[in-house]
Amino acid sequence: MKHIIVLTLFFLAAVQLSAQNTAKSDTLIEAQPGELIEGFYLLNIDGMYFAPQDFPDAKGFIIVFTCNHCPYSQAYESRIIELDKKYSPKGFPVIAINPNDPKLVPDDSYEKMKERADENGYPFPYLLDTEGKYAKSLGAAKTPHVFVTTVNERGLKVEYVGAIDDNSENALAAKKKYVESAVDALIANKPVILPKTKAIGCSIKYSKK
Amino acid sequence: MSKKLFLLLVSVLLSIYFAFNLKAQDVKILKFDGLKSSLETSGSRLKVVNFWATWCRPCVEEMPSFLKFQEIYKDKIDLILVALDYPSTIDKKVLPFLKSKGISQKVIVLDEPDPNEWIDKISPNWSGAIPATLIVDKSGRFIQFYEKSFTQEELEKTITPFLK
Repeated sequence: MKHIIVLTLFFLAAVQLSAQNTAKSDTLIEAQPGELIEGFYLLNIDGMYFAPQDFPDAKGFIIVFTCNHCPYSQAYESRIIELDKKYSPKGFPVIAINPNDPKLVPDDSYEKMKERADENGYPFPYLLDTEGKYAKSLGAAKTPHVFVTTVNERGLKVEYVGAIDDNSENALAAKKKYVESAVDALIANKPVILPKTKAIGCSIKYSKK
Repeated sequence: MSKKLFLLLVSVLLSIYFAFNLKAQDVKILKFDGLKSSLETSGSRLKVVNFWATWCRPCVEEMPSFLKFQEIYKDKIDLILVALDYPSTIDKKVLPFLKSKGISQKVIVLDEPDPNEWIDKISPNWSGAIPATLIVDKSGRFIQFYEKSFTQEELEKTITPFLK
């Protein structure tokens, strides 16, 4: 009996400790390099649904959670376009996904997504992640938040997760181009040297359901 | 208009101008190491460090709660507002924001282009999304971190236990 009490106390203490360590409101668990993730199946601004199978030549994807309203997304917009122009022909197209709930952020509505993509000539699909389900499954927390994947027979494998580069304000001042280095390594069949980085971004406005 | 009245008017206008300017002058630009060492310095109060930006809507929405909470517990906590706006936008964005909201609280603007270099040093649990809030105890230890928004009620519930 004594043992049981001691064990229970230990258990309670452990629960207490783990509760203290994870103080996030919504526990988003970010998909880590090496992990397999499910493919996307989401509505594009052209009214078509897109899935990885629609890109038979793709060796992988540069999945960018982004949106219209966030100043960090705006600061990176032209760099995301450049990434697609540079890497889509090499088998790594950009897939932009907006996970924000338009009820919380009217600027991120499907209509506004179309407008922004038209105005700025997005060469990549700009997908609507209704209720942020796909973003949640990857543990995306902010915009922009990038997941570079490869494609294999079992699905998409995360190879890099994090920031686009080391300077959100000034593309010309960016010294470490994290996504480019990762994709260059993948194209050359080399290991990704820095598979994970962090950046400041706008919190994803997940629908409150 | 008489000369006296004119001088009076000018001096009133000037003092209003300076009063506002004084309020807004309390912005300090720090590198991460400077921020870290100022947080790690032991003091007599618990530090509540709020990471925010003028462009971050949920941050702006929760700010009044933090200011009220600090007002109530001013003898027990120090509220430190760390703005993640670009330092180049202090004059255009940060100062006008503080002025328009009448915020006299000291604000630190972090001057670090690459968050990957310092986010984990605040907390490995931080994804980089804001708002985010760090609690530092009197001896300068980082004791808790939250990547979420707070209401004033939630601040009461969450932070006051650390005051005991």
